[in-house]
Amino acid sequence: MLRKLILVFLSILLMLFITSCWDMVEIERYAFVLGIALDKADNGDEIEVTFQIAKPRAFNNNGGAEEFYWNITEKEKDITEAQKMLTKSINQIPTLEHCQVILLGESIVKEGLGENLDYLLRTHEVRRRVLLAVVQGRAKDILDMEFHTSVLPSFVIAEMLQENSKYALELTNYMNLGRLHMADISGYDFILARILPMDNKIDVSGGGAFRDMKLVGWLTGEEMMGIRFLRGDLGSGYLTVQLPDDLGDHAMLKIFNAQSKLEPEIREDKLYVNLDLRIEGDITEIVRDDLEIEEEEFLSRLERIMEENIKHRVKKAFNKTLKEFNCEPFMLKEKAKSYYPDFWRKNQSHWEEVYKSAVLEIEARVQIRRVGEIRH
Amino acid sequence: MHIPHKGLTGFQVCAIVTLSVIGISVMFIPQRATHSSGVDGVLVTFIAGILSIVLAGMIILVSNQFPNKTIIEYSRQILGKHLGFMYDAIFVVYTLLASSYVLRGFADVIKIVLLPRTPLEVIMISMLLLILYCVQGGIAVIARICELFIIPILLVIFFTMFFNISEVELYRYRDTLSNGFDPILKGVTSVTISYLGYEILFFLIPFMYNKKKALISGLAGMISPIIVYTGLVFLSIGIIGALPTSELIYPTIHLARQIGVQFIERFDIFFIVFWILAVFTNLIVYIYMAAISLTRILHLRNYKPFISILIPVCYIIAILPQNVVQINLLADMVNYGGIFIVLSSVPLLALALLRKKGGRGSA
Repeated sequence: MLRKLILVFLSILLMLFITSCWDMVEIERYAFVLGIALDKADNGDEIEVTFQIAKPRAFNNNGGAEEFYWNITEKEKDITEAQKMLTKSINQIPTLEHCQVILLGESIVKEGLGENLDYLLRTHEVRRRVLLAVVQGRAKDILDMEFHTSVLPSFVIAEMLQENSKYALELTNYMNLGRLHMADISGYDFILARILPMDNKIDVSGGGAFRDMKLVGWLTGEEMMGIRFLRGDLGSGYLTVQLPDDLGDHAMLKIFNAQSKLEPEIREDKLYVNLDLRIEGDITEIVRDDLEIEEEEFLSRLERIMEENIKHRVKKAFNKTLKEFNCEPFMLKEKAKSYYPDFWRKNQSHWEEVYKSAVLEIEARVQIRRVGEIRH
Repeated sequence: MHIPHKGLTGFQVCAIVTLSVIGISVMFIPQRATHSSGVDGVLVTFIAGILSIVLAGMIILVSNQFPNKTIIEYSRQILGKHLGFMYDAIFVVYTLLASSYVLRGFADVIKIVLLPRTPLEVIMISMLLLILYCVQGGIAVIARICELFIIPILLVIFFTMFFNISEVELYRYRDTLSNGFDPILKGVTSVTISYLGYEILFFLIPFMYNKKKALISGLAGMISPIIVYTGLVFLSIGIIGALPTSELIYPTIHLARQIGVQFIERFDIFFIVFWILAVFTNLIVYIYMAAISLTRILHLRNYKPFISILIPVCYIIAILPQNVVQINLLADMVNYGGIFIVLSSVPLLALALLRKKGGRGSA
């Protein structure tokens, strides 16, 4: 009898310890932050952090909520403080676990990003694959915009960056929070996707070049394409080239496969950058008058023209970032360190001069695989 | 009713050794390796693994001289009564400190990553209660648990590595050995520490069913830790880079968090759940070692009451450090103790052979 009593007592005791979860919070108690926008406040010292919070009813079909999200802007010293303020102003617990996108306003990145991001990097709450973008203008305005395709602006932007960069070479989803963290600790420069607000829509092509966590210049979509070839962040996309008079007017190539390899090389104490590009694509458009040209000759000339075009774009992007912005997002430092440790040690002190005088050499090979459904 | 038990099989010994090595070190092995030797960390981890295999082999050889005795008994035969007693006392203190350190390290990771609002004490106590229950069953239960857990634990670690492998950038290893051999020598000691755990081999031989297989299965148990550790260091350097890796506290969680295949988000949680199993087996092995060595010092046979005595002590030691600095102090003590213990196998073997103590024939 006593034995049984003890057993019962023990199992009740065990229940106290092993059941339930200390950290459990009911899902209704959470406020899901879907997007964060950072701007500099007008008074200069503080920052404006805008949180986009989903209303739970947004996901319920017969909910009938007129608003699906609301934005709360807090003016504070940093993000941590702002999040703290948030807990004071709503009766739910803000969680960043489902954050889709972090938008950085132009005003804040010009001053430098370093101290503002520390919280996002240190916490476990934010996913590493959260996308980042820099807004040419006020970041807050983007979260206030209305879109036709989805009710939540954060989703629209995250999906645009994530999916569309697979179909267009002008935009990128290369940088996420994890990569930014790496850039932060190893001190290399990077290029973030740019969002350009226009009256009723946004343009996500192009990028913002960063040096020492500070914005140093903007890149257009065309230049972004060159950057993507250079850093090996490749997807598919379209390339339009002008044709010489005897071939027609212009042609468009749909790139479906691309490979790039960037290697440093030291010749006579000078840094050369060798880029090896291999591009495969289909012709999707040829605009020309009825010209009788032999097919084989036409295609091979077209390939050469496209190679030249790509080389030109890549060179332009390379020179602009490296020479104009003094920003080096191509991991040249890391690569030179690995490939030529002796050279690196010798030139470590004046590395900036070395990479600024680097010469880019491109080996490009375009292969046209198909020409569509019309014989030209 | 008495269940006749035949002793541990070769695979069980292998599993126990593997899971007593793979524990909290998995979390920061890349940090340790790159901190002291940069990009040479991969090579260092591998060399340290080979060194550990050799030491594990030594331990088995010593123990094979006394096939029916644990280290606590034969150390007195080899070293004499007083020296032997001191050695055994070091053994008890070391295993106790090591289990406390593992417990604290585990609780800290869980608190940061999984349960931020749960008190540290609750995490520790619930773990200890489970351990208490498991170790009461004796070495046979421990062996079964290890046998059961080894496959899922290794699978999840290999999954983590597999999903990351496409991100590796091979150019990062090009400057391996560019700094000569200094960083390797510097790194080997600190990385060898991460392989500690195979001290359990001092205790396993008497319980083995087929003692001839001891060497083979003991050494086989060291192979997967070498693959896991070297693989993790390789991936961290290839993905994150040597310098940034040395600045992260838990590079392995970082690797797990990077994974983002379409249908798997937050793989880190999954990884940590299975890592808890690894820490659990690690802890039961240490607590078992502490209990059994304390019992044998006092010339007693039944170690079960001692577990209940040791577990509160372990808890108190684990809860004592107030911050990271003091935890590191505890870690240092554990590491020195562990290095002393495993290195002692060499002089013990030499002395045993010289003084012609033990030997296969005498038992």
